[in-house]
Amino acid sequence: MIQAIIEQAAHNAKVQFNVLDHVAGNIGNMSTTGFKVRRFEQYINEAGTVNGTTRVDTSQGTLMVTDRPLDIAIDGPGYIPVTQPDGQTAYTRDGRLAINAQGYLVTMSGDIVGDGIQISKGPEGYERLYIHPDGNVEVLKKGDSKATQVGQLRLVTFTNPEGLQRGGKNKMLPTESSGKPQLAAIGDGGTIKQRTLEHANVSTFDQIGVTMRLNASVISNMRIIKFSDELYRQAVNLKQ
Amino acid sequence: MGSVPVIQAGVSYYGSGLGLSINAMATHMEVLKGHADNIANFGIPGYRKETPHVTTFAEYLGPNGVEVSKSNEIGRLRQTNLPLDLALAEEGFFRVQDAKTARVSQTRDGRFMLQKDGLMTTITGQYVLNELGQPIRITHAPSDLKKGLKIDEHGILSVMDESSGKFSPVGRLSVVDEAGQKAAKIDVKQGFIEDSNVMLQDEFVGIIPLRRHFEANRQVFMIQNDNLSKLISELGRS
Repeated sequence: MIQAIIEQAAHNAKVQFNVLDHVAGNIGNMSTTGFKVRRFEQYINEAGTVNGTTRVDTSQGTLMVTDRPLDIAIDGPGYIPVTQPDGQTAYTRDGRLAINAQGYLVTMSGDIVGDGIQISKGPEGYERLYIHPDGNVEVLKKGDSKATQVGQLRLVTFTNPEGLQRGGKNKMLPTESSGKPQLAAIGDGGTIKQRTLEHANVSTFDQIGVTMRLNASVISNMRIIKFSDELYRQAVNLKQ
Repeated sequence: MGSVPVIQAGVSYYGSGLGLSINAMATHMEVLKGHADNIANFGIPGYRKETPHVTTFAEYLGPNGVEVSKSNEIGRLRQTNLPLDLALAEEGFFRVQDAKTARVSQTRDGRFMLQKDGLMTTITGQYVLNELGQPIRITHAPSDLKKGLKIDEHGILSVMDESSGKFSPVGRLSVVDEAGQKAAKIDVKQGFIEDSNVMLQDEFVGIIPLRRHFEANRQVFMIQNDNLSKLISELGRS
């Protein structure tokens, strides 16, 4: 019985350290654009022991004005589809865009936004770039009086965005549980805000709250181990 | 009962005396297990603490004489602001159904999520049941659940129509009492979860006398053991 108590307490302490892993990951990503906080949810499994699963809080992060014309933020639940160099499609909410050597709109990791939105052909460049709330991308060329549309940035939504798999470099990949990406009607997936970035939705206070709870739990479990160990020793050394 | 061997020196070693002390020590370990369970489940939302008690006849029943009583106290409600985190501010349980075995059980853990087919499940994948006892399915879920899904204090789910912005009810959560009947008072809070009602300090306060009882029984055992060995050696010498 004492072994069972010690094992249970040690297992629980281990689970709490998993929680700490997630807290560290969340705090580490506090300044990652478009990052969504991960929560470690504990539950009791069929065997009666504590177990955990990860959940993603997909709520909107706060928007920060940056004044860089290539910074965009999504105000809504949608994702920007990007084409990776290997041709595969991934999804991101990281709106720090750039223009590559061929003149295409790309993300920070070099993936082409959408099917390819070519901002400028050749070296002449552009005077101004507009990305409208509905995703229309317009360019005002030097010497022109009116901006011309060069493409449209469409957003996609998922039925269960929590099911998306983290694909590295702030990109998400669809999985069995997230469902297939659906092209959102304009305005449905959210509006696009130019010269703005979306902060991570990590709340320091929440994370500290989680840390304090897990700390109390670990200390308690360690004390239970110590106490059980003492009883065990006394029980073994009965004849003294 | 004439066959019970009693040695005339105040020491009996059958059914009482030595055996009794051992039994008492084992009982206290079982009580400790109860406290350890509460501490292990401290971080689980909706968990209700189970206080271990030593019942009457424990001197005969040993560790089997330990019973637990479940606390009905409502745990602290914590705001999470997630649309599918629900807490019950009054007595009652949500009803959930296992996907594989179809067994219906009750829980106060209101951390729910929406699967891609619109089914509302717990984090372990059990279906959440509505008043009619069927799994809740939200078809045409709004893409932004935070704005588009409302659950009022009576447990009625409403979904926003994205083109008109109007809410229409799609079902009602089943909230039952322990007997499985509809709860008398229903108060569902959306965006909250109920932490376990375990107070860590209370558990350790409960453990302090436990340690003393264990030590006392150990001492009594050792005194009796000494007496018995003295007695046997004295008797053997004469």
